Amino acid sequence: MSEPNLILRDIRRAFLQPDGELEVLRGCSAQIMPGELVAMVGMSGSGKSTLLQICGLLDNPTSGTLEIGGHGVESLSDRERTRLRRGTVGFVYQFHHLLPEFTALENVILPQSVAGVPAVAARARARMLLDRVGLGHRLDHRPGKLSGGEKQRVAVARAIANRPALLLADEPTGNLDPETAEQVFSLFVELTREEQLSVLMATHNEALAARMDRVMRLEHGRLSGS
Amino acid sequence: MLRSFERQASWKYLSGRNGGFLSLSALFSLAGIAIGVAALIVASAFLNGQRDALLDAIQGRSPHVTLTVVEPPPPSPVCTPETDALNIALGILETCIVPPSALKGFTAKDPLILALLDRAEVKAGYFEVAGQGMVVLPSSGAVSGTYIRGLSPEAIEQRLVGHPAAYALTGTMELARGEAALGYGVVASLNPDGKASLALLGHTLDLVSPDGAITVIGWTPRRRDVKVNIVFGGFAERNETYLPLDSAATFLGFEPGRFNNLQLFLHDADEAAAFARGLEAEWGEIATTERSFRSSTWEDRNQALVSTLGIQRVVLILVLALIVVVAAFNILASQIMLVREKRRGIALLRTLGVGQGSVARIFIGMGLFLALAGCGLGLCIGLSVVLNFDTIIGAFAGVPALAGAADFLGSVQVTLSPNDSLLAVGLALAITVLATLYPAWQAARTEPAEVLRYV
Repeated sequence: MSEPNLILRDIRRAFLQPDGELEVLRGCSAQIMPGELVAMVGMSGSGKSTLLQICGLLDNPTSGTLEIGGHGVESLSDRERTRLRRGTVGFVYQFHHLLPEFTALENVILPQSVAGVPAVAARARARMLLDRVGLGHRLDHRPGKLSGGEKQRVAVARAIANRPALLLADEPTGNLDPETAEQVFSLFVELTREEQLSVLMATHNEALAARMDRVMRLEHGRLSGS
Repeated sequence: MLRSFERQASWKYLSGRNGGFLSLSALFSLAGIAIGVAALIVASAFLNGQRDALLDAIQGRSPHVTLTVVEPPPPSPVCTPETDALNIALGILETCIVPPSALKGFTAKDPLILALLDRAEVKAGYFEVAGQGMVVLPSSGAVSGTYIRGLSPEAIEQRLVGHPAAYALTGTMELARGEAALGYGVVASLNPDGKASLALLGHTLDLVSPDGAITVIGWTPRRRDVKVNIVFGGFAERNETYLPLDSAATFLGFEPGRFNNLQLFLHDADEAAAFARGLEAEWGEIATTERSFRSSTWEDRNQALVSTLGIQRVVLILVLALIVVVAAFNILASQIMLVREKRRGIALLRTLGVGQGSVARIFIGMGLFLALAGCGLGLCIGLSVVLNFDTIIGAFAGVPALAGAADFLGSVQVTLSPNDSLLAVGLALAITVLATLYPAWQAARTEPAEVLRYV
């Protein structure tokens, strides 16, 4: 039996506010198996993005433990967390967050270059992925010349370029019109299944969430349905 | 060393969002560094030229090393108690004999001197007699202290022929017996208005030596009438008076064929200090109680000028380096703005697994590129201006408003120094890269969670 790609144990996260401490996550526990697509639904401000950032090693929990790809992360230095993130985690955001100075192709090559993939192999995989998301004819376009849906497709291609063990998606279609959102989501699901990635996707959209393997709810700082 | 994606990101940020060759702010930063480097190179070439011209003038005329014999003090009288009863009765209690003093100076046949003149470093040597004296202008009674040098015709030619500020009554730089050449400093002291002028040319002056003689009327200073045939300017020499060698020897009390100074010209004037040091160490051991030698170099005599030129050069280079500093501030300001503008992109790079060191290197890389390109451009501009100086000045001369400046600049010597050019480039590189450290540090500290939480 394979190990989970993500294990959360009693994750808590509190923020200091002028009027006291605000505890956003109050003990979240969950695990995601390899190849499993999990949706996390919850209201705005419920802490979905915070939990995703903790899962992506961009933020530290106030308490609780976390394992990614079999690695405990509590004792890791910033450098080691960066290295782990580079190799095992991919992100897709609500806003594409493409680098505006880079072309679509360069945006997809970049994470591979950072991970030390040879230039020729990185370029070939970036081309393949952009072809796969239907942007083979837009390789040399900068994000400013792409539509919202196209940008998000480039973002999806970039997120999976390094075949991360864990793909974290924060409302990946939240900024798109329903038709484009449907296209991008279908592609997202298709690609992640093809690449056999574990996915944790935060969304408001119950209909999209229902198409994932499993749905977790984040309410009052706690995960349910896990 | 930058990794490929760091280089790529540096270049992308420099190019700006539109993907042009360079963003406008990067171009201005680059231009600032280029102007600074070019200004440093051109100014240092000017200063080197000025320094070389002045030092050439000094080194060409002023002896590189002067050897002066240090005479022992005059002998003390040797006294013995008086034995003659009559003398004792008369109150004369001792008999004193003054031993004869040694002859002043040295001869040209002295083995030490002959060996010295045979050395490979020595190009020419001139014997001279020199001593303190006074010049009196009888018509006004004005008096000026002076250092009298008795020079051979060759030494006079070496010092005064072609001198830009030497004027001779007869038109030729020669001194006949009874004639003298006066430095500007002596002339200025004798003139009522205290300024150097040619008015004294042709006048007869009294030359007075403190080294007098005891006569029947007591001690009297030695004096001689001399006619001013030449007036000359200079730096260390401006308070000197030149006489023909024989006249000066008689006047200063030297036996014929004896001298107290040897003026040496070396093949390489810059070696003068080392040569003199070596000589002092060598001769210090063989100095006798009868005499010893001390040496002085052209640098010792013109120390004020040499150090002034050095200070002037350092100050000007520092002032011009401020241009590079200003350009570096420009880079600093634009990079700080860039870091703020690119916070989201930097945060995103961090989510892709780009470490803090890599983020810092991206911004340092930008500074390094601007510094290298700016220095390269500045070097090209600076070298072009210096190497084509005459052509550029020629072009200036065609513009009436600039003709005066062109005349002046045309007379200025420029000397390109590879060391100074390297210094300018190194300085600009260092200052520019230093200026990128703070923005790079700021960029590296970007917390992706903070930035991405609110977008």
